[in-house]
Amino acid sequence: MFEGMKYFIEGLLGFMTVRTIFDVFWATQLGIIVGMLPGLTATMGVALMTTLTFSMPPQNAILILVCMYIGAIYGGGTSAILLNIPGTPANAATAMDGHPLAIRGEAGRAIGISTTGSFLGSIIGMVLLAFFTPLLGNFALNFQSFEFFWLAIFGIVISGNLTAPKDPIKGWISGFLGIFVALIGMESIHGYVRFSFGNTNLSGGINLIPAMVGAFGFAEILSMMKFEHVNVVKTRISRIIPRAAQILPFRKTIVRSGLIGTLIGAIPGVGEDIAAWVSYDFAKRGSKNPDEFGKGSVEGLIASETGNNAAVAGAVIPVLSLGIPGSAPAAVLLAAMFIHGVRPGPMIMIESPDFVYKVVAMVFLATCAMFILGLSMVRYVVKILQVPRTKLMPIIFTLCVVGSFAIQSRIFDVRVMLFFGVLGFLMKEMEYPVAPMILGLILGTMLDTNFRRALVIAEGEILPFISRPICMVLIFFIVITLVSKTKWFNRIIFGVTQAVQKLMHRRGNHD
Amino acid sequence: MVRKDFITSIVLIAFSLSVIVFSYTMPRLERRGIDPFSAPGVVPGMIGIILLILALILFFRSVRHGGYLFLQPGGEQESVQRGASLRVGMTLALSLIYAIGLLGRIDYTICTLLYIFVFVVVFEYRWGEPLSSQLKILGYALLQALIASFLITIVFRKLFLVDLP
Repeated sequence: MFEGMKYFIEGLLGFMTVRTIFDVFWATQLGIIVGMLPGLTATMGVALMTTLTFSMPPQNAILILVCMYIGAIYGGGTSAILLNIPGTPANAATAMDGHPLAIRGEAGRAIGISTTGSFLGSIIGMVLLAFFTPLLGNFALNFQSFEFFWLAIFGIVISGNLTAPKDPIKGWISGFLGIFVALIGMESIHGYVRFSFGNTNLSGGINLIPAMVGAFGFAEILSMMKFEHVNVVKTRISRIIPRAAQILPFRKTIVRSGLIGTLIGAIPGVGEDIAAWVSYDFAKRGSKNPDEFGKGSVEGLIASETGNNAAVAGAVIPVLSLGIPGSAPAAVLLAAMFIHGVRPGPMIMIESPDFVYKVVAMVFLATCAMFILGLSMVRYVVKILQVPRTKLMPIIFTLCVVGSFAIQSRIFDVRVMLFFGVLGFLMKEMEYPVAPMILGLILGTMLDTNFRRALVIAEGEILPFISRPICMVLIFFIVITLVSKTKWFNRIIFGVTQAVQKLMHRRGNHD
Repeated sequence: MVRKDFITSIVLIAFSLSVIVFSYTMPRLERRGIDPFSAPGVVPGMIGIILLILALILFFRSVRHGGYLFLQPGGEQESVQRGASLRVGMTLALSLIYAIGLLGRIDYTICTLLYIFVFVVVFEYRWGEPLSSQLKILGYALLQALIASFLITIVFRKLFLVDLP
């Protein structure tokens, strides 16, 4: 604990140079702008920034990516409030109450409250990141190939379930398609080239960054250009800095949303949008005025923004401790860490424990920069929202091209970006979530190697896969996730609840 | 939605079957004395089977809800959808021409300038109105294309030291 504090302070002091502080502010501001602009998501911002920071020292590059991530998730709230269009999917719940407040002429107040919520959410997430990463990392040291196989399956199943709540099958299909894509190219055990059909570029595998730039960048451009008009903002922004009296009554909501946001963020491949919705839902259930939700409730706004920003730090917990991303932007962050020679995973607390706390310090710096910039610059930055998308989208596309080309200087990667862009667009049109596919792309290699290795160790026996304690827990959660949306399961749950209630009632009468 | 599910499930069934076939025909590398459980086709085959099961569930569910009646007319929103498809098609065509047809063949800055200019003009030009009343749109598009293409080239090449196509 104290050692962690020491590493954190050392990390923070190490970042206290003019150059680093400058990097923190410009990257966070750029993140806020990226997040604000509908069509530019946090994932795309972090993916593009990965390619631009390629030549920088690892720590600076990762710091810039963390700033971009936190800035973008926060920035999306502004366009949700002003335009009723969430800048990123994570801010959809923010629009529910933020926009009605803006319509009532309270845009400044709404932005101030959302900024404070984001700040507090991020701080709660940061504390939990510092606390849980070492615990989870140490626990994961017990994992062997069997457990890693089930963990990958669990990631796909839960991500599919939560990102496609209406139809989890589509989420699972998306996830397993992602795993298939990860299997293309040379496999790591025997060096055999799979599914490349003689193409030398394909034999090297599909690079994650171009795939993500395509699925979250180009696909978004195509989706945006579907609509003929997007309303241009012309809202006056009054006082932004909130008074303590506006925030303090919601302290319970803030703490609850922070905890929920971090927990949901830490679930593999689920991400900030689900975190915001779940926080919003819990706030509504626990509120004294649930009827105000959707009509400009400050509590709803604060719950959503606290939840989504807490999820950012939450999503980094499994990145560092397990090498599995909690969200799509965290997946890029994980890829960027690998590019820069950092190897997150269970061994990180043994190999480089200081790095974990450096990331905590990065989250802290980015959060502070976000708070300062959010309260001071919004009046000016919001003018960018007035740029028509017909002018903006071609520039974004050229950035997507540069971003996918930059890492390996291959036109093939540009084609990968185009392919995943079209695929991502079609998937969205067919109501398939894209996030599980990206998670599958990351988990594919882990699943492949560990499953085959485990089969060899077990000499083809299935028993070790299902009899080890951690495997049993993971299988239990996988089964629960798989059946949780079925009618018969809900009927059983309903029946059990009714029976328990009756029993309690009888006991009460008896007493 | 059931119509879309029906179509995607058929595509997915065909895709997963081909994955299973390719995985089955992959060499087992016995000559190299390799454990058959670690053969390269094991996991792709398993993924193919899982995808096939999920696609079949989707298929039978969509058939039960009448998804196979996809040749029936789509309803009153068809004209709105046609406009949206046209805009998406145009964006896709311009982007593909730029990224596959032009990049690497002509200078990056000129290529980007052309793409941005044409993109803005295609979507902002009011095709029914005379050219003389729309010179401003063309002028602004050219100015934007010039500034953006030169800035992108300079910032990426000189500041971020990134290779451009």
